[in-house]
Amino acid sequence: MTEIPTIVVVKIAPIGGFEVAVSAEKVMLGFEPAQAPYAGAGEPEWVRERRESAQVQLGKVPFPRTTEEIWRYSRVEELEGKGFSLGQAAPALETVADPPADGLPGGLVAEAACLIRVRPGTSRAFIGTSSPVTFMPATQAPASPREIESGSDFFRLFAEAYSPDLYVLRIPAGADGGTIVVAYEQPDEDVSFMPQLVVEVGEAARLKLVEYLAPGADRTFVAPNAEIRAGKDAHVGHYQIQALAGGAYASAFVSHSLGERAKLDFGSFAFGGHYARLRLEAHLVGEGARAELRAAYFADGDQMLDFRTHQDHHGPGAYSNLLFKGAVGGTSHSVYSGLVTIEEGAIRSDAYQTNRNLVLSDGARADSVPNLDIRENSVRCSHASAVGPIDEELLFYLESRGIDPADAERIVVRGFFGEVLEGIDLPEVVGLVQSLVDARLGALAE
Amino acid sequence: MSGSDAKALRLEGLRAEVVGKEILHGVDLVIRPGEVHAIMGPNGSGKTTLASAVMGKPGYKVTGGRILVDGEDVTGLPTHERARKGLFLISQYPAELPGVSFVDLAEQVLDREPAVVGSTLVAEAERIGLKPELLGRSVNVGFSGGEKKRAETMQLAIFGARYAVLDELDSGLDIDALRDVARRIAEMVRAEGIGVLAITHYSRLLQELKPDKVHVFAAGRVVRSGGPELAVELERTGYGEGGGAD
Ligand SMILES: Nc1ncnc2c1ncn2[C@@H]1O[C@H](COP(=O)(O)OP(=O)(O)OP(=O)(O)O)[C@@H](O)[C@H]1O
Ligand SMILES: [Mg+2]
Repeated sequence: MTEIPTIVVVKIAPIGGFEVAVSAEKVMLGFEPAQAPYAGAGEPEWVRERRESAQVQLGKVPFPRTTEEIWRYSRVEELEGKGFSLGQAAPALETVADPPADGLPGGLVAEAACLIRVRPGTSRAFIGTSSPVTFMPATQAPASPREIESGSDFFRLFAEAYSPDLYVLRIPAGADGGTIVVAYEQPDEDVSFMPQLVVEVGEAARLKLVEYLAPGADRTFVAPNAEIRAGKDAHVGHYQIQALAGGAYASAFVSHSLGERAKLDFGSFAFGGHYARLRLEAHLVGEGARAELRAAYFADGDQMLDFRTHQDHHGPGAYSNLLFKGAVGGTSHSVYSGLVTIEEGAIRSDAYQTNRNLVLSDGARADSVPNLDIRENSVRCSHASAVGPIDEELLFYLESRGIDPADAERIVVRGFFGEVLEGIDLPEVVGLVQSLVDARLGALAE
Repeated sequence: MSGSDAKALRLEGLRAEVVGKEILHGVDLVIRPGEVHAIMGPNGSGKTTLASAVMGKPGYKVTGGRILVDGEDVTGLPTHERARKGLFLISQYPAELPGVSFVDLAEQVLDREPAVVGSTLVAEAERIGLKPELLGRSVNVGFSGGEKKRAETMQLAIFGARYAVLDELDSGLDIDALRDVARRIAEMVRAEGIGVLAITHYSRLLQELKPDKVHVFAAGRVVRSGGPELAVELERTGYGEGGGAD
């Protein structure tokens, strides 16, 4: 018996204060406001334009489905039936005289010249006395135009269109911003949190930005969006440590745009969340721009950690090198899907992409999908990916030195991630990541 | 003491199989503290299988006989417990450990303060001719053949082994490296009384190591045993008929 398709509209609980309506015929989701979205009162022109443009684009981007390549394997469809209210408070900033360190890992505080705690509504910022940086809610910030359009990621657009929490961080040309730690926290259950950070690093300026997604509410949807523009000859280190609560859904978006000879070292260190995704875009716009892109992720229980990367070469003579390494235990699942594009004109490009995954238990799974799209000659590109259990030879080697099997496994996994952490010039951040890896290993041993 | 209680690494009728096929068909050997035994034999005769079975490597299944360390049966023990009883293996192709430095490894094995571990490592590295800056690097990763074998010998010296199985320690070594590692091991034999089972294809190593006994290995068993002169003879005449794998 064949059924004649009829349009069945199923009402599903709101996401971000929006209701999802499913059309069974088209298998497409549309959005209808279940709650008035953030009105953005008092926002300057450029923010209003940014919102409107995102709203227009959002109208053309359907709610993600796993049938789309960039959402393949993901758990985005699990969001149906979940409800999160949308933030309504305009962002306000309280400048504090001492680093607001309460509840943060000590290592993060030790490194920070500036320490900023971003929460829905009111945030606190400690800006070191001699620091050249400025940090402010977008309501107070002068125009911050985009140089390159980011990919039309649904949640990036959604956050841009409706999140109140938009901040701007500026490092003036030639200045050294030191290490700036931005810790995000979202303590309330059933609330979405979509902090937006626009970072402008001036010509020949220096910055090390550490974003920390602190454990907060368990039933939450977190969509942090960092948009970093590095001017000519700027040097940027950007590290995102994701330690969200075990039940959280997250869809992070990071977009870097690099000017002439600008240098980026990016690292994602992901451990938390029930479903946590990162979409990373590195746009190498200027001639001779360089990007090291790294990640260490470790999933356990029934988590899913999901990474989508894009190394986007425009300028000639640019270099990008990606090394993402993950481990999966329990019945967890990781996804890595990466794309390298070499646009016309990006001659003499070097682009490398490596993803390696350790599968630590029978029920765990890692998917790895590297892709290259090359439209220019005389470029050097390579990609490699691997998924497999711990090499028995390594365990045997350690055990033959008298190390018991559980310790041997720990040492091998630590070593596996060690390669990702090599050369990061923030020992305390490296230490924190190692302790998060160790905590995961400890949990596996139980 | 006498019999199987005596201090020795003792293999009694050892049989082992790899992927369901019997490779060792009953090997008997007794290596006492302070003794060096050499095993020579054609490719594929089962020498690496013997070394692996002694250390309990996964995939090498002991199907008969026993392995005794100072009278204690270790045949059923997992690898790390065999190591703790004093067995040490230098593999023909030592593994590389990405992200694990010698310092990490030694701290784990020795269980002493980092400063003590550090100075022990540096002293032994200098003695064996391994550049101390390699100690902070990942174990064996990107090392030359000679550096690997020096590094393995360094571990043998500091991890307190009592019986060492050396599977072609000399393969891929230049003359200087061969002399350095062999002399260091000969010294451990003399000074600390370790027992050594040295698998090799060349009498060159044995000129430095001065074996007490030389055993000819063929098709999974010891077919002939003699003194050091046997190594010289073998090098001249070869293994002859019936030497290879069965
Ligand atoms: N993992 C394995 N899978 C299948 N066969 C194996 C395996 N390991 C060893 N063998 C077989 O067992 C036999 C003995 O091999 P072994 O490596 O012990 O020889 P060997 O004497 O050490 O040789 P060489 O002098 O070349 O090092 C060979 O026939 C070999 O093919
Ligand atoms: Mg061999």
